[in-house]
Amino acid sequence: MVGLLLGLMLGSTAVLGAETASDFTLRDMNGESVTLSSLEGKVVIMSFWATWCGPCKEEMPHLQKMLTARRADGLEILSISTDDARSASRVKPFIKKMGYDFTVLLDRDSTVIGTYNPNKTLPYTVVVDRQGNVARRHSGYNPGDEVELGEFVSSLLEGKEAAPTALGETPASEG
Amino acid sequence: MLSTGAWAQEAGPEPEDRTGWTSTINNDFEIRYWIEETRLPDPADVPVFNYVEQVNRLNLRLAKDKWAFDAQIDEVALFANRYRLDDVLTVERPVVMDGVPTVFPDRFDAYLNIEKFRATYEDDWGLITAGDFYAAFGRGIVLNLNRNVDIDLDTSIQGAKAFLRPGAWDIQIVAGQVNRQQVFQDNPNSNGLGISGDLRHAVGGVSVARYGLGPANLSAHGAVYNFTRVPGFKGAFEEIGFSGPDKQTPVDAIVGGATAELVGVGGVDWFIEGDLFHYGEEQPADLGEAAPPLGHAVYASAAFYPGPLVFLVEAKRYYQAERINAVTANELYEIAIAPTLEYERSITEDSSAGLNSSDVWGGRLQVDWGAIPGELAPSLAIGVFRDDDVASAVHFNEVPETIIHPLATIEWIKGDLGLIANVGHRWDIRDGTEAGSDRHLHGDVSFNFPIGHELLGYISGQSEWYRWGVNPFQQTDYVETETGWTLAWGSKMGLTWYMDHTTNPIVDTTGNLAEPLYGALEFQVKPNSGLTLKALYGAQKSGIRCSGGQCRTLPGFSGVRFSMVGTF
Repeated sequence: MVGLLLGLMLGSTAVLGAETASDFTLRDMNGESVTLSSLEGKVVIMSFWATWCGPCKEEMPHLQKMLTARRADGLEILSISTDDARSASRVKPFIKKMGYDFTVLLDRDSTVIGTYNPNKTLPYTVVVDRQGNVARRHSGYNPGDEVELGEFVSSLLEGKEAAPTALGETPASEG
Repeated sequence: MLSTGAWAQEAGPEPEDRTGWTSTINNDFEIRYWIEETRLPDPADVPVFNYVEQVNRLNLRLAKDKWAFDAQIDEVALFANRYRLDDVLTVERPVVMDGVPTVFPDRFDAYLNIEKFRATYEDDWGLITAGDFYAAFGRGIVLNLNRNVDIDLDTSIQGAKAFLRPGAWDIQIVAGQVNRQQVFQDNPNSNGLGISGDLRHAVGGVSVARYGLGPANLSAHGAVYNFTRVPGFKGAFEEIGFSGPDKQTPVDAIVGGATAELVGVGGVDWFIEGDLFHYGEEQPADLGEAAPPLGHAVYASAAFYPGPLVFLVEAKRYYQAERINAVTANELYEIAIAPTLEYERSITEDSSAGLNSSDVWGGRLQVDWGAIPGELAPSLAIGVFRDDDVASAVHFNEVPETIIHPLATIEWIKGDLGLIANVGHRWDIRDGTEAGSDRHLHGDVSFNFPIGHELLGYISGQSEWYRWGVNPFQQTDYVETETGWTLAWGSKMGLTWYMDHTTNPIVDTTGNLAEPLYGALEFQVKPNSGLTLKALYGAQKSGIRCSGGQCRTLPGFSGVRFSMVGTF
């Protein structure tokens, strides 16, 4: 059974093909409403994190640099806090002290992360292409991941067919 | 920050017509060989109680246009779990209790359950969900059922939810029964009793929020609870009168309140929530009182940002508010989780007034300094609380106590270097010198650094030194230390050595009760970004474990463990 599951997982992305990014609406830190589908035409990085998650904090400066460099090319970042309702007051102070200016949304009852990553492991990154399809998923953060993410996002921004990364991942095709 | 309107206008190519079905499958498979400490007296040291546990969690999602269908199927099986002695077959650890239905024949120690399912329709006006969903009102004081898979707890509401967004309004209506996961993915499914089935308490609630009234966001909410003592679907339906008035019981709790948020008024972000708790005359026996008094809760915060400094002030006052959780706490989850203002990484149920006191007030001040934006941010915080709960059935203090808890933090991230460290000391000072005070020194660190040739080093650890005053469950002073040492090749693979030490003689660490020092070796590989394989051999304490760029709370373990998590 292990072998069957392993084989399915290794070959699955290419077999099953594309996944339309599920739409959602969340409030940002000031109460403004943001809907994913309103960003169609842009490349969107959805980064799920929490204030208690160390690796998430280490990934954030790299996301900020990426956004600063490529915002004009059509990159948008949705930084989605999965802190539950009781911790909501701590999200904005954290963002302010670090000086980030990406859009921060509050997923207080974990509905959206449950849609994209039922295991709710953090950090979790989803890249959505200009057509609204999930182009890449990545769980965890290790230094260096941002390089591969940056290359992948650049290929989407420049309209190139995204090539398989060094990790052997096959980007989802349109379906 | 861009506005949503600007985003829509800036959109480039026309969206394509996306009307086909899309599917996502996420599977989490784990098999573990548990080495048990228990041995037969004769012949000596024969590990006959060791066993194999295999669990699998399969999440399926099928979506088309505005519809989405989700299901979670959990399965557990135990092997090497039976023996025949004098022609009598004995099952060492039952997987399910008698009467709990399972699709597997009796000869298997296995259980499979469609744990969660839901159908969702979402449009511009909002969404409607039938099946399992999560919900939180305000700051979670009256309702906060969330997916807590990081501590291996997942309790949803099974019923119906409508989330409507007319203009600047958010209207949330929920009704159903609570539905806790039956199969644990990380914790052992072998408690000696077997899976018993849920106590599916009835929950209903409404939240109405109005955003953008100038700088103000306002909301009002209410929730009703009816607790059952009969497992399965039947219990909650009887409680609310579906089986006739003779079996209907009065509502156990009605909770209502309101929130007000002011964004940037006077340069300050303000928030306040107030709630009232009314309890029924006939309370469940767990609560110990027939007619508890009216409860109340107030939580407030203010954040302001002068220059590179960030000040966050929080205050709370809870009286008879924890009572709604007391019924469910022994079922391993809570219906509402209010802001504790605690440093929750280091607290325990024994040392936290914020978690289980029904008469507590206090506050917390945190000052952050963004010394180098996005790179270096030290912080100082102090929490001061007064716990006056000495009488309720949900708390064990015999005299009031004052809690003082300072904490220092540093976050430094520069390129491939990362350092996050916290150190704090907590005093639980009981009134009267004879009771003494609990003292708790704690620290935790996460440090990663480049080694060269794409290799990275990670060191993570946590240490706690408890010194107890006098309390009804007198414990021995102890020190616990957990560490993880990782050599990683980016995200592709990593090797982690865990080494733990404890002097605590009663801490529940499966397989390690008699061992003060133990270790484990874990190998992790990611063949692609959607698949993670891990194999571990050895023993480790329960606690927060970090490897592969992620951290989770795991139970104590001794043995061999293999896991495979993938999304496709």
